[in-house]
Amino acid sequence: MNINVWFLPVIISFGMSLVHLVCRGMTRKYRKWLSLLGGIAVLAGCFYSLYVNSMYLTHWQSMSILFAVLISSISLFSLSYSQWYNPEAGHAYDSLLFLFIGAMNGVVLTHSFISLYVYWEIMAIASFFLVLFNDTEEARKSSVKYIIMTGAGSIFLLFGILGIRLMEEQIIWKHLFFVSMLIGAGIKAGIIPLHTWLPDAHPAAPTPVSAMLSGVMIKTGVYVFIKFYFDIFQPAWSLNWEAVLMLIGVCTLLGGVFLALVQHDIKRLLAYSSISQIGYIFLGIACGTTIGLTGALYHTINHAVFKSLLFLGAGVLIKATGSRNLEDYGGLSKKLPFTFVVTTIAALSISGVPPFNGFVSKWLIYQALLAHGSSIAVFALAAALLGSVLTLASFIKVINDSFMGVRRKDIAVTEQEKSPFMNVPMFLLAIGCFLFGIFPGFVTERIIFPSIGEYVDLNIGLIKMASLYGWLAIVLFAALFILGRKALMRARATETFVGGEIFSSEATAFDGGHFYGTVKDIEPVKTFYSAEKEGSLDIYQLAGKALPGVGGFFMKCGLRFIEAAYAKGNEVLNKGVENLKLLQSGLLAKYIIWIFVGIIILMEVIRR
Amino acid sequence: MAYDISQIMMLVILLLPFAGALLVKLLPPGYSLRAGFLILLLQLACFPHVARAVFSNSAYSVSAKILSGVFRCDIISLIFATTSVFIGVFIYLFSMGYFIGEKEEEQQKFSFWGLVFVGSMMGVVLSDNLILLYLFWEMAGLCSWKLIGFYRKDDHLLKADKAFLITSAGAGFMMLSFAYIYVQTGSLSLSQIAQSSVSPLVFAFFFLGVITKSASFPFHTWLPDASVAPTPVTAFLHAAVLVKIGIYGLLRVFGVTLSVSGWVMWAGWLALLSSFIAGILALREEDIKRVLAFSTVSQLGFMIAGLMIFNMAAIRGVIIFYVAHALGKGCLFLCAGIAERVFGTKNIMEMGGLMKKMPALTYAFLIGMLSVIGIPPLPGFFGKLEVIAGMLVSRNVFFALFAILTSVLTLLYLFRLFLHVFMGESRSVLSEDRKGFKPMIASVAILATVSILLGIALVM
Repeated sequence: MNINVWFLPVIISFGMSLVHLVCRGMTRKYRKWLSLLGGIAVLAGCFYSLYVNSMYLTHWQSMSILFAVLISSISLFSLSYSQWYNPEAGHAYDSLLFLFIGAMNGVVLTHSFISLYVYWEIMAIASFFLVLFNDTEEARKSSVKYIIMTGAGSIFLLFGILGIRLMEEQIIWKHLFFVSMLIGAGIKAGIIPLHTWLPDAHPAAPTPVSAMLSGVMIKTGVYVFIKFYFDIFQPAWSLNWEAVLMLIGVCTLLGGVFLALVQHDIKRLLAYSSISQIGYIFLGIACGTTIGLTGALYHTINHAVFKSLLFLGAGVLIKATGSRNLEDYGGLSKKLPFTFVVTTIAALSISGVPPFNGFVSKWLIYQALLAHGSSIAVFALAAALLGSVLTLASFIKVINDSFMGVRRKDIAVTEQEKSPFMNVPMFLLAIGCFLFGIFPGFVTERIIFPSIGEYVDLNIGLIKMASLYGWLAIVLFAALFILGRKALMRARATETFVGGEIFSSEATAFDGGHFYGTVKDIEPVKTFYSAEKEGSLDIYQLAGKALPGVGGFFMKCGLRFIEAAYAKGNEVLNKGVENLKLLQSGLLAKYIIWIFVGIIILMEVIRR
Repeated sequence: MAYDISQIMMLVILLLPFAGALLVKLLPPGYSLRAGFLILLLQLACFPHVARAVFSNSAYSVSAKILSGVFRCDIISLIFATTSVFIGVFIYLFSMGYFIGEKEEEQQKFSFWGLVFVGSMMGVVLSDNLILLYLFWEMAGLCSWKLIGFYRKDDHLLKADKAFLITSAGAGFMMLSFAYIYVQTGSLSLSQIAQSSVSPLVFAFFFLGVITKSASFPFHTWLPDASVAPTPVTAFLHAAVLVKIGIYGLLRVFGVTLSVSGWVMWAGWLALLSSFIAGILALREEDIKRVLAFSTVSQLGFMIAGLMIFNMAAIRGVIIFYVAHALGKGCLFLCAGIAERVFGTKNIMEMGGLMKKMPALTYAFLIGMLSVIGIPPLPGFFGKLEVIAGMLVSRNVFFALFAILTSVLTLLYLFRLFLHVFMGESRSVLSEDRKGFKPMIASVAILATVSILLGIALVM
């Protein structure tokens, strides 16, 4: 294969990063187009590389290019969006963005483990600065938390990689290396309980960056895990970790969605929901079958599409109202109709409503769990269904609180939703939600199966049928809407009065925040919430509390003792020196006796 | 046979610092720092000749004929010597800014003892004889005593005494082990005793000397205390000269020359324990220099543990990490000196917000920090990579795991430092006095740049 063309996306992005650094004097007007062109070039590079090498690809390389295309396209959308969102950002911002994109592409494209690690760290450093970019107190705290957690994770990943490379025959250590690798990839992917950087870093970052973090960067963790698990651990070392992985998947799924339910900060809610979707992906991986992996990969693609769309939509809300709190929104559907429509599509997708894409991949994962047949898989299936319902609930809350109901803050509608830089990517992503949902056969057979290397009969007929019914429903609604529009137009819109008072007011409005707040009081979940709130689930905070304590322990036990030993030694030495003085009495006769004794001892030694 | 240029150059390298020290005493005190700087630059210029000879000679050894069997230079000596002199040059450059406002006599004192310090390091790394090695080793200890108690305050003197007593007690044990080596092998010349085997007891005595000099647990307490000294001195202690002598000695005597018959892994475990404890203690400290000092203790433990594996990958890794740590830690200490100047305090809880005020300093600190943590593509990463790979190749999985944990600790405390010093809002009044900052910033910037260049060279 042509190795230069293979790394074309990485080369282009690093080149663009350099170009942005060099052209520091360029105004935003030109920089905008430069960034957009760069993003398109990276995506084109991916496709060109696929085109040139398509004859010689192994299935791992197909998966690499699949992830690269995914990363490049989401990055392109975010880049374009950020021209609208962050118009004042300087050259460093664009340069860092391209560095980040290039490093992510490098992680998924590279063949060697060590260079994977190098790209992995470049990615971490670049995203650290991007999270820090707003330079608020929150950004500072969470970026440091982020870099420390992922830095620790990558050191564990390095240990796992080195162990795999250097001790292949050493079978007793395989579990250690596997756990180390799982920690490394899992921190990046955000599995519970290693997820805690995610809900802090996503809100703190600028919105396009959050879309990239949540849409594709955490997927690099998934990619690395899939690669190691299916390339090395599963076939060569036959680990039996399926049950544990399923448990991790269930915990991540349920924990994420329960936490998402009660959030007030929209970006934090989306971050927690990302965690829960990662749980689905891990369930698919844990099945270990072709269909499970198909579901996992499909869900990875879908999640990238709808989660970045949700973040971009959230960005519009944040930019329009200046607040991240759901309780400040309300009734925005008239002012931001486009955002309302695309966000609703994304919310339906993430909740798994046909005919949108989330339905297909979730269905595949359910199917894989059923086919797996073990009791834990059945339990996981139940949990996944529950998780799906709760996801829908949490997104109903988002849609309701932000777009429906009573407006709590008056916003200026000017300037909103006009820039094509922001409209087009959101529109394309919404189209993506449709396309991946209505062509499941095409996606699985032409995109996912080549990257798995196996072809199975997926029994997609059912999915297609469900999609069809979904389509029918949508067409019906649309037809009704269009037909009934005239009737609607004729209708008179007035305020709703009850007993002479306006009904729809602050006091009587349906408030999602309070409604969902009651979830907190359910008994087993309550302890979980309080634990998360106090940070006793947070490894970072635990370490922050425990390590100085351990240090204090060492201080007390070891070091005091050593210091005391030094002091004592000093004392004893002084005393010894005093005693030595007795020998130095000044009498010549005594000295001569010492000399004699010495000579006798010396003779005795030499004689032997 | 006539002396060729490389042998003369080697002698020049050895003698130049001492001659320079004399010159500094003779010159008027105002010129002393500049003279020291020029002398070290001159010395640095001598290295290419020696390097060419070392690399062209298949035996990798240049011995000075006049002192045959007394001094020689091979590739390890060359790396250690070059690194020391290189860092020394920038410490002198830094001190030209740092000592502005001090009395000229003080400058002369620093310049004199610093040059002797570098000279004794050259002696240690170039000597081919255990007795000579011991001599220069003690000479370095003496210089450190003089320099730690630089301002001659009472408590400073106590700390200097402590450092000197601990290291020379260790050196005494080391002397004992040299005597033992003589008994067991019949020679004190390193090139003659190569490849012979000695008993673990010899190693134990020698190791005492190493861990006192290289400040490992339980003899590490003098190094954090030594941070009372002025910044150029601490940079000398941590990055260029003093504590690296222990690593060099261990590498030279037991890494490549002698082999030990018997179980000596306890030494590696002790070093890892030292690395771990120091890492945790660094998390508690609030004095910027003490944090960095504990960090040095931790990294030294890591290096010693890497050496105790005795395989080629680990030794190569330790050498790379030694260079990376010297550059990175030198840069960090000098940055800390600047931060101390700016804030007028050493307490990191009272610092903050330096990122906006001094971006160049921030980048330099960040690069030094990332190199010490071991983030690619900086050189520290390749060192750590090779050390851990060496540990895994020789089947020491728990060793490697522990080393990984200390790396995580390094990440934690250095980012904590970064958070408190550079980010957030400033919690104390920044002094606007920027007198002498130009050479100081220049020296840290150059050290950081060299770190990056070295990393890129290693990638290639």
